[in-house]
Amino acid sequence: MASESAPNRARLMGGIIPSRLLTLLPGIALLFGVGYLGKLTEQVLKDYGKTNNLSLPNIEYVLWAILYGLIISNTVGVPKIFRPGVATYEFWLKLGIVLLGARFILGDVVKLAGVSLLMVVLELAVAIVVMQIIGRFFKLKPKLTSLLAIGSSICGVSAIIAGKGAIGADDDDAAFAIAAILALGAFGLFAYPAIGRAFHMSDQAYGVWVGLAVDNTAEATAAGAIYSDAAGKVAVLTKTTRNAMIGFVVLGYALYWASRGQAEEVKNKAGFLWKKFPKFVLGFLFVSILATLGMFNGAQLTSIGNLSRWAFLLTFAGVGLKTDFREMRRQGLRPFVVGALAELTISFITFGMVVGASSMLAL
Amino acid sequence: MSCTPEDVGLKNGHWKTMTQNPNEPEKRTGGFRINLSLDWWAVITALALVFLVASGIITAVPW
Repeated sequence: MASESAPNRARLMGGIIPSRLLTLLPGIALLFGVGYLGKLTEQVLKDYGKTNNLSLPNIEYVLWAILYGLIISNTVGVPKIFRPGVATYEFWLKLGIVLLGARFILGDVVKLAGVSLLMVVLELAVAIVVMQIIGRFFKLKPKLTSLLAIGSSICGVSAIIAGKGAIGADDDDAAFAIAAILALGAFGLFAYPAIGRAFHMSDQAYGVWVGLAVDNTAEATAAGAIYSDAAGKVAVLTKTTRNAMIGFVVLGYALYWASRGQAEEVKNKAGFLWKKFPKFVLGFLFVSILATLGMFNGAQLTSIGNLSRWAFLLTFAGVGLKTDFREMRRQGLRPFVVGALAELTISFITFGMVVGASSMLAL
Repeated sequence: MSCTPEDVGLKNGHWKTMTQNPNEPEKRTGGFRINLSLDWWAVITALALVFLVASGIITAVPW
């Protein structure tokens, strides 16, 4: 950068960056429009019920935003001009999580993350073993099985992408694994809240369960928020704890495949762990520390919390808009059957763990 | 069987985002380089917003 002349730098900043940002604007506007429509729908239904003395089911804006997104994506599709902006949903998710740190006192984070951590370690072991057994039974390619195990044990798509490079898997395997994780995540958005309500789970217990069982962070956040605001917070924290483990699991698989001569050797393990560590977790902890130190008054905490909600609103719209079942069907059933069987097993086991822990730890 | 991004439900241009590890900076071939990963961008934006709220520049955010 130092070698660039000032006019050249100005041209680059004035030309390239804004034009790059401009390409994102239509999609971001669509995310906002779809999300806001979801929020309006919730409000209109609530007001209608009140005015007419009807007890309508309280369907959160989260579900409406996802539904509207799914309808667009699976009927008319998302026009090309919106696609770069729609792809920013992951940025809004991470921004929302960091801001959410203000709503956690560090002591609560430590306590809840401690409980979660124990269960996350158990969940990781269960998920990896289950996926390996089922993958072998269905004769999936070993590296595809590894990717599905990485995706289902930690954080879905990000983990698969991180794992793909580390174990030297090919694009086809990554595409299969991503498709399976996304399809199952979309199904989970509807299934988990229904199961939670059927079993009268508390907000905390449900949040921990969803954080452990749902693979993709956006879907875990949405599935928690659909249940309740409190459940959403706990789901994010549990899922974040799980995400923090990404480096260890990917490193384990990288070492395994390197020992078989089918992946590059990992020379600097500490560097590898740092590279894979999700940095937004640090931001979340930092904001939580600021809140714990009393840096914000009540009104400011409310404002930061609301900024987090707006960021999540865009994320949830993106979850719907990025999910296209028609395209996923073309992948064939086998990876989905394997993924679904593993997910069911993992969901069942984590449900047992959470119910067990609920009675012991008063979750 | 073909396995393009479009085939796996990533038709909305997410493939580039998804195949890029969010923990690693984006590789760009030319132009203005800001070598930060998506994670760091999210952290920096969040901290900027927190600063604006804490300093009173943003007084209230409605929901």
